[in-house]
Amino acid sequence: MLVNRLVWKIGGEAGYGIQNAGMTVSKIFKELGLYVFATLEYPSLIRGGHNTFTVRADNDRITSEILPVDILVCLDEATLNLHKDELTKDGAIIYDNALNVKAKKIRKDIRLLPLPILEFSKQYGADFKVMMATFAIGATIKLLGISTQVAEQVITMQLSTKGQDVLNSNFEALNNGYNELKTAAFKIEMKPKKKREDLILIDGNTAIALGAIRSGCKYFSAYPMTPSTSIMEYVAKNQEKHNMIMHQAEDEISAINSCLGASYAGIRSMTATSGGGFALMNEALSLSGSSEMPIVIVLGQRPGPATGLPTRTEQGDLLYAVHGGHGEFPRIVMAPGDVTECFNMTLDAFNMADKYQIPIIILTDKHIAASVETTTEFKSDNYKIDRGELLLKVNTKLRLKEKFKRYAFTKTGVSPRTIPGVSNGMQCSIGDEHDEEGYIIEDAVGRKRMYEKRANKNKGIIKSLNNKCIEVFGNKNAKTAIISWGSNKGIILEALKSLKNCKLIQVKILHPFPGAELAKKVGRSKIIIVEQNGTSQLGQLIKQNTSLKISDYLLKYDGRAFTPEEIINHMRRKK
Amino acid sequence: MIPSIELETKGLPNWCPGCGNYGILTALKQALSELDIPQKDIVLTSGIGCSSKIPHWVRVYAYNGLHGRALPLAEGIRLANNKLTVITCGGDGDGYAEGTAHFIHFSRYNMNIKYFVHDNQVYGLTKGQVSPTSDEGFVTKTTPFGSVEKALNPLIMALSAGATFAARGYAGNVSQLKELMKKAIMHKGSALLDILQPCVTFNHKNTYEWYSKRVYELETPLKTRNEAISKAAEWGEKIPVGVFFDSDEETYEDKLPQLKEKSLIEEEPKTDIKQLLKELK
Repeated sequence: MLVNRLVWKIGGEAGYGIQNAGMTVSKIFKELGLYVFATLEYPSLIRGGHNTFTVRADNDRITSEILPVDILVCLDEATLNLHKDELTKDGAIIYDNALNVKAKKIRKDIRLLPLPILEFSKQYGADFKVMMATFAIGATIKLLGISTQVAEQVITMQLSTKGQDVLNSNFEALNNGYNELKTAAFKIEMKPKKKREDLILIDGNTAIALGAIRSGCKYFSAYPMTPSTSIMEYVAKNQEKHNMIMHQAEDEISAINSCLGASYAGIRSMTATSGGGFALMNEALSLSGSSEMPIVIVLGQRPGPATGLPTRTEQGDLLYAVHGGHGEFPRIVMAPGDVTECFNMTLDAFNMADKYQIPIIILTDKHIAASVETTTEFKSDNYKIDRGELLLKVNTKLRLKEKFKRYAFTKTGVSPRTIPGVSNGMQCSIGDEHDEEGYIIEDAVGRKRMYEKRANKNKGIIKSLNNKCIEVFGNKNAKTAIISWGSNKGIILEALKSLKNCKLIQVKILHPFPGAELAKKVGRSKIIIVEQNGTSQLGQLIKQNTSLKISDYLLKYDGRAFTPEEIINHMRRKK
Repeated sequence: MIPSIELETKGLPNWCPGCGNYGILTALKQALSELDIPQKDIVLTSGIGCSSKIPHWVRVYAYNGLHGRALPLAEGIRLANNKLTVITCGGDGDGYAEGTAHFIHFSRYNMNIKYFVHDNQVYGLTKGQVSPTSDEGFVTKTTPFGSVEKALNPLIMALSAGATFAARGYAGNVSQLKELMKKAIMHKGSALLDILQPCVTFNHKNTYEWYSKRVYELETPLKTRNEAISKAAEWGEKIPVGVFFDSDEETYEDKLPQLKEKSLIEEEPKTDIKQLLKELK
């Protein structure tokens, strides 16, 4: 019998509480002291369609979803049709006994577990769909040898605000599901370990929002757009106790401009969007460059062009993040590879934005934004908020012989910055080309000097980032290097468990491109690029910035994240 | 009181001689100088256009941003520091074309921001194209046969979207305009002051003479929003100027518990995430 290694999948129409059910099961496994990685797949609609939530649990840390599935819970027929062939040998299907499975050609080895899911749930009237999921969770835990107490404890935490009636009906559904499943023996058993108190269960968006709060960000403005929306929702929920304001703007243009306004007035600000919203923000991104106004922008990618696949994943906006915005100005583009990096990079992003008075883009995608994983609690005791050359105290007075120069020429290209409320600090921040005081200029010499002042910041930026841009994982002596970025990290790490002669080189900072650092880390290894777009945008950056030779590409652009199996198969075929 | 010399900057305006913007600049400087607001606490945001260059000739804190986007800048500034007096200046192209969405939502948010629109019914900086407030039939380089569009009425838009103060001024009457600016600045909430501004170079229809014959002063604001909207529709042989509507309502900022005691900028950031992490355990 296998112990504590499981992939569980639930599927049903939108409106069936698939995501909540998935979170309940994830938390049950976490309570048992196990590591979890969970992903949600859903179409862009509110009712109907096909949603799945897959939860993988293990004794050791896991960083990706895997196939095949051990238990499939079908709340509708579509789930059965679409996923019945994903099951492991001797896997199980939990489904409603009204479903006719005979016509489905299900493999002989698979255990069919029909239960009166719908019949039982009908009594709850309008809530029957959600109760079906809870009932199925009851059957699931029975099959896996998990006690109802643990599940009840998790459900209590999750539904704490919904009132005792809701809680009671859920307990009833859970216990009925548990009791209706008559056979308990299954090839996998989940045995409770000691619960790890240092583990948290978190998705990338929440990690970024937490990072923003930890960084002292006080203003967040955005327009809802998948896959970034949950960042604004998390900030909105916690704004009052953390002394922040979350303003849902009328559009992305307003959102980013109001962030620049808040930044001008002296507080840290952030916005989050996806490709389409980022397109609307481009002009203001450029204003951040000209007016040297710090801002942190989260660009959560999804497949384009245009509306594309709103709820799926892709890495098609890398070059757009690097080049977006008209004109030339310094910026940093960073791409976290897991939830911990989402948190840590957000802390760095705010400090770098302030230090260099530039825009920072945190480039994520739906896979990292919405996937949930257990990880060690974030540590940030040593984090110090560094506001750079900001003269922060309102109601103070500058002692200057001449007028304050907002864009004073300095060695580093970074000039001191005042904020409204400081006496004698009056200044004009501006999108027109300007002189040191912020007045509009037209002359060639002045323009060249101010351009070079801004460009000069790149030297400091590159120095600050030196040796922090690339990370190597796996067998360091391997002759084959998979080079990748962003959310692929966890999937490739999972694949490396089976690929002993490969290493992963993760590029964490995509701009300014760390060409020298990458070349050093690659050495003489053979390069294979793995990324989620069709034109290998990372490959293009490598070619532009290094003389490295790329031997092979594994590219994917079907809107679904890689699976470790796809990477393993590709690498094995190559040999 | 700010001595008027303190409001001077190193440059001189580069508007055309006779431009209505001079009257607006004079009125603005006089208004700021007469009000009891510390100079360090005044912020001016602007967009792009002849009028949006005004921060260069009034010495206060300023953010001269993008075309049509000066109001969102002001909103961010106001929420970051609600002790500041925040004024946005721009033209009719800036506010009623490029930035229409922001104008409508600004009116609705009721944040304490004053929006002064230098409305010359024509595009000046791009050298003479039609504007959303151009009269129907108006001939410009882009409407050589006369504009086929209806003119937009900014006061009706602001009032129907929820602005708590709406006024119209005239650049040809500086002392009256100054008083209107002072009233707008002292108003608590979103205030629109649409300013009739002759453009001597590109608008040969709505001239000083044309306006002077038509404008008359409203004695008191209208009592209700609906009456104010009806009055604002009056345009033609007679054009009313003055305060159309002035209502004391709770502002966006008033409704935020975060701003009850101090502004965001004054408060130490609350960065302790222990409790939030605990919720994830």
